[in-house]
Amino acid sequence: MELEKRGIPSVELVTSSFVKEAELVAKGRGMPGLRLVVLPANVEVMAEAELEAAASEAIQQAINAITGKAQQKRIVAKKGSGAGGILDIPDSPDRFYALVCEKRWGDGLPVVPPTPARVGRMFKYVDRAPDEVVADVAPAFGEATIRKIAVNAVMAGCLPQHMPVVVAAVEAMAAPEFNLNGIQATTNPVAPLLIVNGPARRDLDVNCSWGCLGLGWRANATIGRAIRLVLINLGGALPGDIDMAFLGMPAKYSFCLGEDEEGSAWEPLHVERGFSKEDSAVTVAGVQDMRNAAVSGTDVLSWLRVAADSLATVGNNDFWLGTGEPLFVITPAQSKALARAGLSKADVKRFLFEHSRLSLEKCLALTGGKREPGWRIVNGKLAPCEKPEDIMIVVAGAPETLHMMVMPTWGDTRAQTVAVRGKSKPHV
Amino acid sequence: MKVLDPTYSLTRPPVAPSAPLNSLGGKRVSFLDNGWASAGAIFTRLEAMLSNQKTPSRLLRKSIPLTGAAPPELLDEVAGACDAAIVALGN
Repeated sequence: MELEKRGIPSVELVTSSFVKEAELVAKGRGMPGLRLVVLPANVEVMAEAELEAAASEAIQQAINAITGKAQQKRIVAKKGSGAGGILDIPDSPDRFYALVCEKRWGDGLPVVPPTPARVGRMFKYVDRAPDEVVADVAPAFGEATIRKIAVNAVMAGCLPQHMPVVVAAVEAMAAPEFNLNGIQATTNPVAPLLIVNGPARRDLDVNCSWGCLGLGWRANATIGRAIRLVLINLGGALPGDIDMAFLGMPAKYSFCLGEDEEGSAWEPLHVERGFSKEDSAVTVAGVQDMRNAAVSGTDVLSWLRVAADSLATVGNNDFWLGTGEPLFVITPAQSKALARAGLSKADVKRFLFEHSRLSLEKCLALTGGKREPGWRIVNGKLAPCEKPEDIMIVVAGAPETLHMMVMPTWGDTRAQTVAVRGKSKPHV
Repeated sequence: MKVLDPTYSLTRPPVAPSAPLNSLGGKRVSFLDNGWASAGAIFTRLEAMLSNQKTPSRLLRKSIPLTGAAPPELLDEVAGACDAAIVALGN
């Protein structure tokens, strides 16, 4: 599309698995007439004769498309209620749930009906007009207005006071460096992790402690879920259509925690990223895996070695692309023990960076000699990221020392931190 | 009961693609390769087909990221050096 805008006729080759995504992005970016040629899936593993036939056919179609000899299918924008705004439906929770499932507006779980009254209440804590566009959500580039975000937040079960955090997270995900388009469409099981910092955690009762990555807390569950519904309903990312994650992962339902700043021995994540301690902020990170590192004993460096070892696998995308921001969730007690041993957060990052290397020889043995173009090889070892500062540390969880959580990231995404604007209020 | 629709509406006016070429004979064609194995398979055959035309085309192969957008500088370079482009996307 960018070449088309520069006056160069072009044709996009996509396999059948990705054609819906290509059409959606083309529509969203305002070019429904984009020339597409569709190849069968798994071209690279076809038998030679089959490959020859498929490739020749595709190339001829591409040539025909560029030279105007093909009748290109015009991608018609779906007529839908998205433009209208209000639906009149039977007043029945069962019927509404069925409608949501039929239209694929949700995540498969029951949702709260977004009545005008409920949505109207969501504006109370947001200092922005309902029709203000916060972001265009890739890959459909649907406009995320305050109103549309509120509709999805209601469906997710959010309280009005959760809205400022939800809005900030949408803003953060829309930053080009986050690469939401890639995250939404990748075959990897990526979900945006939301990390809440500042006074909003206490105001909204965001769990930063026991089970903070699990269930049971309304703020964590619904704020994370609101983001997922925005990604579906405004970003178009439905499983198998646009969201091409082969397997997905449970964190795609909801993925939100707060940092235990009071329990941490170090400066909070948002302060590290340029905010003041008094600011409320949300960081979004493209996480694609979670690995428990069981760390025992009192040798703090052994904890870090075990955690680094948990990260270091050749199938980890941080290594595959070499540009990751692997994230470690360290408990408050662990952070204090590490600090007592003289380790700053930067020291811990450096240690993890040095100890999470993979030997090239081992990787080649595992891959049958195949060397991935993205491997970052330094002195015969693969690194998960460019430098120690790319490693992210969040302090959260139980005030104990037995577990760390190691989170590989997708690799071609940079975490973004945005201030939470608006008002917050104690949890009701 | 009345509920609000959670989905987006398309408000951008559509933009038409560039005008097609009359033929590729003698033209400069860029192949933007995202590095996937299938892209390589296509490129090999594309190169052969375009070279075997009555008036062969010149094929310029460029690498684009597998996981993100092509950098603007690369797109500017391709736009300045080519008459048409074939782009490998996704898998």
